[in-house]
Amino acid sequence: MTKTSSTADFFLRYCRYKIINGRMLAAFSTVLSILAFFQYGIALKILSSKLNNTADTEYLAELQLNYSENVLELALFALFLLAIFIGLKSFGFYIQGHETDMLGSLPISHSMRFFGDFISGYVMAVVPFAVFSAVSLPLISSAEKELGTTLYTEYTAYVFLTMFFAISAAYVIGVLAASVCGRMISALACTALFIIAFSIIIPSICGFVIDSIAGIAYTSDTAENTYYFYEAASFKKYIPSFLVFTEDMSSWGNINPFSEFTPFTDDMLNVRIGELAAGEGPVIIIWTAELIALSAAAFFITKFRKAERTGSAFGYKYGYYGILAFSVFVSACIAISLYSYGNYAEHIIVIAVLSVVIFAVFEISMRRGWKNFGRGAVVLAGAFAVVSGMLFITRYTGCFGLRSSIPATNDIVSAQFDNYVFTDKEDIAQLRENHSEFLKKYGNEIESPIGVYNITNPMNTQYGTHMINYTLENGKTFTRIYRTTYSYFFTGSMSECRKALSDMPKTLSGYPEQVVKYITEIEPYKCRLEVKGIFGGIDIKPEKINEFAKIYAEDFSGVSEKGEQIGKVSFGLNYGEDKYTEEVSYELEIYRGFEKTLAYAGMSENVIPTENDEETICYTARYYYSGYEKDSEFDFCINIRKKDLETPAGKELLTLIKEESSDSNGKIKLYANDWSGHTVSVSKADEKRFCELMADLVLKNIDV
Amino acid sequence: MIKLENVTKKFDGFVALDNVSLEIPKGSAYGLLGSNGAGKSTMLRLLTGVYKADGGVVSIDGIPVYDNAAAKEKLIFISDETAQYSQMTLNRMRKFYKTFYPNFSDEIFTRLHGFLKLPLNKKTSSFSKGMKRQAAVICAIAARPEYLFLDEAFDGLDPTMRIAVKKMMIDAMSNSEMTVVISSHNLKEVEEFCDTVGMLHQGKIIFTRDLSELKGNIHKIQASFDREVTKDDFPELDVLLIENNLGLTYIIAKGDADKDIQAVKDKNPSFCDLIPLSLEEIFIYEMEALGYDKNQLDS
Repeated sequence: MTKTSSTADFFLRYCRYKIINGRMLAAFSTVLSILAFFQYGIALKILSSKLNNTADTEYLAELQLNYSENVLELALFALFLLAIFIGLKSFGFYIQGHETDMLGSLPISHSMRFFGDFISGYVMAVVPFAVFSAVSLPLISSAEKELGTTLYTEYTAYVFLTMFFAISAAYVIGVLAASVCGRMISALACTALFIIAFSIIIPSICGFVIDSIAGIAYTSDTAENTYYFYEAASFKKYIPSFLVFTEDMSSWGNINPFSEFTPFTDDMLNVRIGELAAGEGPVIIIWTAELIALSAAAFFITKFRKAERTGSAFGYKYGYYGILAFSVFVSACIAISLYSYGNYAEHIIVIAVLSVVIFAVFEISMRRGWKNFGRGAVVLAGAFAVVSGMLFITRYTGCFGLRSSIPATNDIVSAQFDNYVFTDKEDIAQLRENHSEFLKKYGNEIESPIGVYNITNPMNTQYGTHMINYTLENGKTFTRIYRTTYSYFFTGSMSECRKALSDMPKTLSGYPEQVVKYITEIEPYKCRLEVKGIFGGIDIKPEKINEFAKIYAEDFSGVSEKGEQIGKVSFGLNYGEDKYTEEVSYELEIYRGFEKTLAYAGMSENVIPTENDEETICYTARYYYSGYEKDSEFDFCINIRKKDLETPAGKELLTLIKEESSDSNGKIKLYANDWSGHTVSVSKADEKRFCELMADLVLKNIDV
Repeated sequence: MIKLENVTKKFDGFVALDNVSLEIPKGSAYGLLGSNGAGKSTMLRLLTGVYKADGGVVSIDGIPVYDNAAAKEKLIFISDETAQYSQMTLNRMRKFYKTFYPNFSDEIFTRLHGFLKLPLNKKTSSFSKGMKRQAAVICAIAARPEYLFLDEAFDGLDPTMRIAVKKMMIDAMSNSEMTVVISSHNLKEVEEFCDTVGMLHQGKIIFTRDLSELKGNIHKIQASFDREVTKDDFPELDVLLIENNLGLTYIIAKGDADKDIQAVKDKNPSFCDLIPLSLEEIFIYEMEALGYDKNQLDS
């Protein structure tokens, strides 16, 4: 009589067997996991003590930390690839070229075998990473206490979380590819196809189903229109692997998940912590749901797959045709992404070429014979016709109203144009009307890419990407993004304020009071003046910004002939929900004669004092002199401390500096300590004195 | 008991097994005969749960086999495809079988391995076909299943090893009530090993019979007549084949041997004798009767 064992016992025994069998992969995964956050945590802990030491030690410590970060990045990337490989390997009996899946005779059900293979593979691919990353967090946390920041832990936790899902997704993609295919070559092709597809298809579906529908329509005076189904940036969060590896959906990075693997750049630090903080809960739910859906798909594919399909290129007879049709769709996405400025005909040609190449690769690698080649060609032609039709519909019919519909005013709670939010019903109606007018006027040009070259605007040829977003009563949002100009959009009956807003900053001179209103409305959180001859920027205290704006407006109105521009004032706007959101800055000109503005900025009670005034080297003057001998150039550079500018020599030096002119031998490039500089000069008459003063200042604070 | 009830299996429209019904009693050694493409491997794969039947039921001891661990726990299948274990060493194979079969006996494994002396820690991909077969047999017997299925059981084995493997299996059968189902083209092996044989042709079971009964039921009569005789001369016999060669006539017929020889003698031959038939000859004559003519290859 056969001895039987309980299901649980057997399952554990099977998992243990699989893990022991794959111990080399598990060991590799463990080593990479140690080289990831754990290594980084240890490095940070060791080096943090040196970071506040002498300059040399600090420099070395930073170098080592950079090195450690590079190792971390490579380890994460390798873990991602390894997870795919483990996924393929765990279900490798399907793709090793066996004629039949003989393991079906073993005393294990298909379901249990799937879960055994899946779980043991997952344990090898993801668990070492999770364990060593979790262990590294206290290390990093302890190290950063010495650094006086919580950024490292915060960021590590964030990257860990995203990488956890990314590696899990990579593993599941490997499993799915092995489940669908019957040969290694088709599995590898499908892995690549799936990664590309998930980078495009899932965000698209999520975008349409879950998020707002957003469309980008381009009107350009340099190229024909291109239409995208979705505004991609907001969909990044829906795809784990994609989120980690790409920044920008509008380039090759859209479809290449490895193109921008830079988890430790400042941009990512700033942007992604904010992203995650904004939507951590829902994002994790979506990622988890995706993983479960993909795993479930793999489960059903393997469960109902016939053993005799093992040696075939695909696990299901019609799987090949599905993949083939799918590859045509992906080629369309690639064509549009890579060749976004092409017209319909050009896109069709690129899609056709890519499809045929993919088809040829499939057919040759699968060795399916001439009879099946014919069938495949028919499927390819059909898929090509469907995709071309879809593209035609989206191009020439407005994508079923996607490009022409606008919500009714009564359904709109608030409206937004770029960063300006309107809650007043009148304003909303006005914006909606302008939107409608814009579509009436330019809608055809958006929808019909042919013949757009003639769209020009003599008044304003500056194109930008502008977003209109309506928040609706039902809580949903309705977003459209157009590449166009303000003047295209804000025409006709816009209010004065909107006109001022729309043409900022070019046409402000006619609307000084609107400027004040505008500045008051937008509530800038910072305001900085940069004026020629005044070293460094002057920051107006936040509570004084509105008062300053009024003074500025008075000057704006009072000075009829604007003449020479001597500086600028920039208003920093922060519309984000947190400090990491991108800052928007608006600049207005300061002209000679804006005395009240300059005087206001010169009063210490109105400005933010510079920190460490005594020590800060605020200026670098680089003097290019070519007056003594022809073609000779004398170049020296001094750093001047702010306090030295208040000495008699410093003050006199400032009086000699003026704008670059023809009566000067040399030129002086002045840099503020943020290295935003401009070129000034001294006259020939003042040159000698200028050099003496420079020398005087050099003697005081030599740094050549 | 192994039972197939109205089992059909198709591959892309090709009917490999057509409404087959069969019962194999427990403890028997069943030989599955048939020409190439008759459906022997398909039947074994259906019996062991590798394939899912398109119609009908395959069961072992009343339990459906496909996707059912409880039924498959009782059986081991040594297929003709040895690639599945090619990346394993014999030692790893032992562990593999041990994982799946709780009855696995290290003692039996060691004893059999000691007898065949295969390398324990070399990948089986480096083994010859015969060595792979030996490795699979060692593991299968050590797992002590109730049912053992072998596809082309003795393929690749040299004569010495055939005897050795056969002995191992016979020992295993005598020590436990193991049921063995083998398919083989080597009918001599089947004849020596099996007590029951079944014959498949074009996806259908032609017959299933006790081997001794089969051998008793089909016979060859050698006789000499003064003329050429044909089937029509022996309407009372179930003649499979008549050959006239150099004055001798060979009659292959089914039925009672004594009655048949008497019927031939009644036609006044100058010489008449009963010649025993090997299973191979029976197979060939049965196949010829079904239109599977070996002489076609000569033409």
